[in-house]
Amino acid sequence: MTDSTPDESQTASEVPVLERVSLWKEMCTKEDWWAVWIGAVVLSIAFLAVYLNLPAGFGEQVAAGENVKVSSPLKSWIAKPGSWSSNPIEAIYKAATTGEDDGRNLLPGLLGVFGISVVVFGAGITAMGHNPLKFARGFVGIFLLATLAYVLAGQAVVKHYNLEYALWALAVGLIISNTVGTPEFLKPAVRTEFYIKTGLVLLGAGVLFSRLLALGVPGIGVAWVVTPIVLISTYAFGQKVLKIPSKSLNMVISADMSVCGVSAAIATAASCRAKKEELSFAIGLSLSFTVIMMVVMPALIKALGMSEILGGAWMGGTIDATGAVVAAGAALGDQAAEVAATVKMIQNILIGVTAFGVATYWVTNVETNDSGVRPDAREIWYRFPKFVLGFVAASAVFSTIYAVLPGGDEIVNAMVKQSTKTLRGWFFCLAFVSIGLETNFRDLAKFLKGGKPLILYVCGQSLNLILTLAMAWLMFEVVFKDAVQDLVK
Amino acid sequence: MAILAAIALVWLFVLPAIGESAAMQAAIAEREARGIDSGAMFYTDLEMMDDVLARSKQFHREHPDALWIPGSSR
Repeated sequence: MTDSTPDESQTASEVPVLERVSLWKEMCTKEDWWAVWIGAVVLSIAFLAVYLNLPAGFGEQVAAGENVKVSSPLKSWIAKPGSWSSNPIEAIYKAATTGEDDGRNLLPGLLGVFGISVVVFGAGITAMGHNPLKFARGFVGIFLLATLAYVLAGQAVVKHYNLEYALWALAVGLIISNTVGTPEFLKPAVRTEFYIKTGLVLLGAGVLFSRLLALGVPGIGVAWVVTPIVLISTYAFGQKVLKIPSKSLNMVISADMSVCGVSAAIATAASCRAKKEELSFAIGLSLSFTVIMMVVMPALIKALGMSEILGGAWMGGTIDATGAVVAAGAALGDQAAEVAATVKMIQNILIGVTAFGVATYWVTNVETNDSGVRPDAREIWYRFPKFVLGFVAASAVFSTIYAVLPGGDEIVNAMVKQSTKTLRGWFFCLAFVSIGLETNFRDLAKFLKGGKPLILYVCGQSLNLILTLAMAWLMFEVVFKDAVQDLVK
Repeated sequence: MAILAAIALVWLFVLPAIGESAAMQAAIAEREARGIDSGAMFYTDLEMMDDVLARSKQFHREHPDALWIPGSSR
């Protein structure tokens, strides 16, 4: 991503020739590579923590087909604030009710995340030639703001309506930067791209290719055939018909709407070097429509007399946010929730391919040099966002471990669920706080003029709704009707 | 200060009051009982996916072609 100041904004014809450094120097000093190194170290430690803590006889139990419980020893040291109803303190600490085991003390986990983050990012900052002490001082403030964002998102009613932490992290940052101004001491720790790229490498470990197979042909039809068609069509519509000036804004909105919401928006924005406010705007737009769709779609499906399975598949392929999809599916019934969640999961797996495809397209077609000539292979490699390679590598490595290692599924699940997914969430939260601290309200307001992004979203989502319904009907109600009913009964 | 006061008012009073309504409490309790996290950003954030994936795995083991070849399930 880039900043929005006019002298730094980039168009296809204004992309500067990048200063060449050796690959070794790049790998030691560039932010993209440090995102890969940090991701690799964190994933390795998280994996080994689970692997070296396997219960005795694990291999034999797996071979016998038994269900084995695996846990990560890092679990209690990596936490995020929980939900609360009327007392925000309970998000972090809650005394147990007499006779009940409902107490909570997440402070060690929060301190653990702070410690891990300040060390890994501090190391990267130092290697990139910046002052680690100034970074650490600012990071305390950023981390506290991110904690506040999680607490705001954890209120029970807010959580119920899928108003996730990204929104509040942005809001917290925006309020500060547009009222009192971002304090100087925070600025060394405002590192949006660094946090996002590192978070994406961690996210890669959850992009497991075997998940694609969960719903067989029906799942692939809805999530991997319709989605790319909608993504490419919406982007082309935005360029050729609406003539949206910013290609990156067009791409981020298209991916956010067609793939799987905020996570897809983050990955795509980083891959096409979108401006920070473009990512913020796309997420705000998507979450606004998500709240509407998660209420309207279940009611419409019931009114039309659609089956739960068809309704679930339709919502899974169209409602942007993963959590909202499941909540909307549950409003119809258990079968709808299961199908909706599974379809959305298969779309989640598309993130890696989307990020790689967008990065490749951007480097080869959008970022041409001054003469308009396409870059050669060396230039493509030089410009290619390297963190995407880390993301894809994490996905490939853990997909392999999942499939090949005995008990690999249990080990990878424990690693992701009990450590890396929480860290990933924190890194994204830090990133959104940083975006808010660097963004002016005027920069966001300019996207509303003329209404083109809104028209793009509405037209793209309309196409998505039509094509997804058609494919879902064909796959779930006609071709594989009996098989799907047997699966979810 | 006005913005901070407004945030405090909404989060400490308005939202808890909304959450006290019977309908909202029932909806939230049902969602939590099903392991649904409305704020989930990725499928690994959903507790319910463990059971869903276990059932899917079992189904594919028992009916390997059902979701790949039309008409092979029955």
